[in-house]
Amino acid sequence: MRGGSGADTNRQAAIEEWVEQYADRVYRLAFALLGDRVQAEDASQDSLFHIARWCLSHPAFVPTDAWVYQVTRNAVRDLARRRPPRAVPLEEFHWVERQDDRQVERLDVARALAALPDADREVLVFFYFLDLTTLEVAEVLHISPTAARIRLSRARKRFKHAFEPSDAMGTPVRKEGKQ
Amino acid sequence: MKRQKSDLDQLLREYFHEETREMSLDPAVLDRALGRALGPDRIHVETRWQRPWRRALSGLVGLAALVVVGLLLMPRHSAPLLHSHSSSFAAAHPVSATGSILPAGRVVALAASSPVTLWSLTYDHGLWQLWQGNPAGQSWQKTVEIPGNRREAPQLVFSGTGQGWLAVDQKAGWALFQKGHGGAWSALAVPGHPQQLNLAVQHGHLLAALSSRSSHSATQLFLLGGRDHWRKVPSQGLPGGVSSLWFASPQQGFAQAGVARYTTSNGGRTWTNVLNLQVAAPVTSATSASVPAVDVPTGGLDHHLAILGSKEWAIWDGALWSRANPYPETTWRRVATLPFSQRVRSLVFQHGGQGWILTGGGHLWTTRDGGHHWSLLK
Repeated sequence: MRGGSGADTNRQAAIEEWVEQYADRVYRLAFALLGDRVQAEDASQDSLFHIARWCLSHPAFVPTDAWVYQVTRNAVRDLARRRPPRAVPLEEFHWVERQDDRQVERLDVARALAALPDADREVLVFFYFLDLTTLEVAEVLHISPTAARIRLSRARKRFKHAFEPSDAMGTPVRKEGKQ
Repeated sequence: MKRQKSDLDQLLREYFHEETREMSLDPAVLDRALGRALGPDRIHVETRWQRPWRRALSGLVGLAALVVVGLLLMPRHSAPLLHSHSSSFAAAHPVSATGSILPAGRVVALAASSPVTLWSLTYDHGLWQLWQGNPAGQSWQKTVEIPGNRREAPQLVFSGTGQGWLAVDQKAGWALFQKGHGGAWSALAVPGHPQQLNLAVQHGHLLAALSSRSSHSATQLFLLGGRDHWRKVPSQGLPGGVSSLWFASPQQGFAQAGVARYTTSNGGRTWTNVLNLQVAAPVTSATSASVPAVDVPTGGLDHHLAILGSKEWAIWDGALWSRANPYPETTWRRVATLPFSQRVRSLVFQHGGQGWILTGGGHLWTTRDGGHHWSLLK
């Protein structure tokens, strides 16, 4: 069962299965990082393409979760470099007519995340969305565990600072001293 | 009100999980990625404005093609299936094609709890749905609907004596359900909070393997006893990251972790790495030879393999192969060329030579002679 063409066919079938297995996870991760479905689709396509091509050119390679997350992160970064950040039009926030605190809170979280630097948003996504430990975050980001903990702590603080709940009328609550 | 750190943690976790809860990648995007990777080297990045036109044009062309193909093939739908090898099995009795329809949603797994009962697991908009059907696939009844986030593929095993178990990965962790002899499914506590959970049936009892995804940790084994009580089984040598676990007999078991295969000959107390495959091929659970085996795909290449007792079947290069023992390895023998080219999702065999194949696209094929002849149930 080790014939050349047979092995190639099976390797290709294996790669197709891996790519399909990771497709939704890659998409959700890309969306969590980008906050935009269309961009997440583009980043997902690039990420899955790179995963498939790498596996094709490295016959003994088996993808791991951490490696897939790295590839997706790189695809998201490449996309961001090619395109300017998408400005979210005000009308998309739909300041709700009925006072749904939960919806307003989610919008505030989205806005606070969008305001963070990419590095901070990344570490929050890996920790809170992927449920990775700081050790695993360090592995994905190619940094030391100590650096990962520091980065996470800093990202939490910045997110907390950016996250300002709105009042019932939809007006952002501002800190004293600001306009 | 000043937010505490734990409030913030919960806020962020809930936000991410709710925002992405029902998200599923458009299959067209997946196909494009695979097409780029497996096709010519040049990368073609489709701009967004091209998509609506491309989709409209594809739709019209597709419709025209369907009409033409339908007109050409309609007189040929009753042509005999092709097979290239004779066999030592008895000649199959032809199975007439029926008008069965597979359950709705994306069918991801097929299993058999007995020669007369098939089960299929589908995924549709964030919900796992378990369907019970007859062997001809003529009728299906939805039995269970469970929310899941598909981080890990679900596990489905049957004891062959009326009991079955289903494990689903949800936002809060793994959830376990069991089917009693009466048919109703009920929740069962998981012994811990593992990242990975694998189910196997050992001598009619449920064995659960709990581990993290890292191979540096160890896998723990728990046996489900009477009154739904879990007993930890002393076990050494099985690393984390186990993707499949099965027992050919009460003592002889196998496990797959990445490319490494492990075996035990003392019921799981000690495990030894015996084989490293060229390609990671997680295989599925099997029970002892005295009860029907169940093929439970867990993602990846599982559906390429089926096990009944110690006998293995595999799909390789468009054909079905079998061997008497996975370890020590015996020679693979070619059983038959498969009469289709679609990807195989599930491969199931029962005693008496009855088997089923679920292909990509949801087509169900059946055999009554151990895989030498296949008929389409569509």
